[in-house]
Amino acid sequence: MIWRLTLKDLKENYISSLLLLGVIAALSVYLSISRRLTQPEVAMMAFIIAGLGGALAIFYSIYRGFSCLKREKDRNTLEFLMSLPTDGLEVVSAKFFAFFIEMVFFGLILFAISHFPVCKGIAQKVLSSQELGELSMLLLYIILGIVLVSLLLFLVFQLFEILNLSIKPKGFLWHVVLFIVYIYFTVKFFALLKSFFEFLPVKTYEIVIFNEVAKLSIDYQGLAAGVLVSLIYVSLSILIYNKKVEV
Amino acid sequence: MSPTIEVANLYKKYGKIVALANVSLSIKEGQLVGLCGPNGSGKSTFLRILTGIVKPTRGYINILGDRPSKANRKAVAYVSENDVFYKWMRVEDHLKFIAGFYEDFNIQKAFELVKAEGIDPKLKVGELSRGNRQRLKVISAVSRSPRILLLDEPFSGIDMVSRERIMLMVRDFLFEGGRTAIISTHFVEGLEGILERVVFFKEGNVVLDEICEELRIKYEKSVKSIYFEIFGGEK
Repeated sequence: MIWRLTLKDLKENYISSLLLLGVIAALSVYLSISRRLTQPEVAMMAFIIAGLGGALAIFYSIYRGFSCLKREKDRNTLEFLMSLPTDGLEVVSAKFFAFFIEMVFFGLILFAISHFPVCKGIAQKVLSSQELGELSMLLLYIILGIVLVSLLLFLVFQLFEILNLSIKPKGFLWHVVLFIVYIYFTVKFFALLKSFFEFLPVKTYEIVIFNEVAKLSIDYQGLAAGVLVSLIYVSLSILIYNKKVEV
Repeated sequence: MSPTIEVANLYKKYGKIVALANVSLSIKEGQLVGLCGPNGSGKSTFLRILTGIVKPTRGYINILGDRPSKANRKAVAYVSENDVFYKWMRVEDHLKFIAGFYEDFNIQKAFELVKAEGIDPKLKVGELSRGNRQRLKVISAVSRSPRILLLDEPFSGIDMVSRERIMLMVRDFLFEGGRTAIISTHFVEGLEGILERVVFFKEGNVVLDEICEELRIKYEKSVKSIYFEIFGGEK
């Protein structure tokens, strides 16, 4: 059942996903060409594309989290879903899996674009570089980080949407108040969980790329807290969906 | 024999509005029950509670020996009054999508019914007329073998032909024994001939619950006339 719902969600969102990739691809082409004319720095270009992709992915994950059930409710299909022999576990998990697949796909494309800039000359320079390995690793970490942050944001906003459907605040002001309170507690909760993982390291790596030193930090405390927040928020989403959400 | 559906003191409140005020009903297997009443009288809320998509504020519900749940939704088919479609899906995709959720969904029967109703399975659901979308909803429900069929305003806003076709599908569905159907409707006159029992809802309360035949004998009037007397539609 979960996979049927996941497939349905993927089919439903493929246009917005393709649009996101299209924007990244178009901006990458533009940046590649413009930077090549002004400052042909390959590594910088690759990071700009990754950063740009990251920013868009974050906006996209917020939009998807916010609209995951709202869209279903607005067009009455939530009623249809709830009348099927499904439950919160299936509906919430399917939405997450669909987004997860999209993000993994997006991450792979982003890696491919940023690693092999479309501008022919720059691509050749990257390919012939001896430092390609380190650059690849750094980009891979960055894009992995983007995917993980996007998934976390999606879950955080999905729970907010489910809370909204169960509490049904009346009026825009109450929505805003609920949102501020929710985000405040989420940040505090994340910080609290992060403090439990103080024994984990925050490792900083220095990588030399094109004669410049790049620093990369991997925050294992944040990673552990993020995973825990995700698990708790998914569980809460399923629980609230089953107990409180109605049409 | 225990009833197929039994509710007692069912109460539902939306904010300050009482949608259902202590409704108690018991429906036996094989009955075709009509829920009648004006807009906002609680009919839809009642059906939605039976399906499990709305939770009651309080009260007892028993459907086929259990509370409304994912498990017993397999034995219940619900046709909503709303346009509950993914309009980007083709008719055939819609039927296949539903078929994936029910072991007893007869996809062949569904396609035969779609063809018989003159609906092109290649069309997107959003491209169908309102009447055809309504028929598709009923086809999706009767292509299974549910023990309970719940229809919420299946005749609203559609032409006479669609209305007649839907009534025929419901009749065929009930022809196979052991099935129970509840239809919420304003269309009392058209259904009077096939309904076995009527329940009138007014402001969240059941104001009349009778077997149609007994009602007609008792008052020497049609169900439609009694409906208008209670709800003040005709002088």
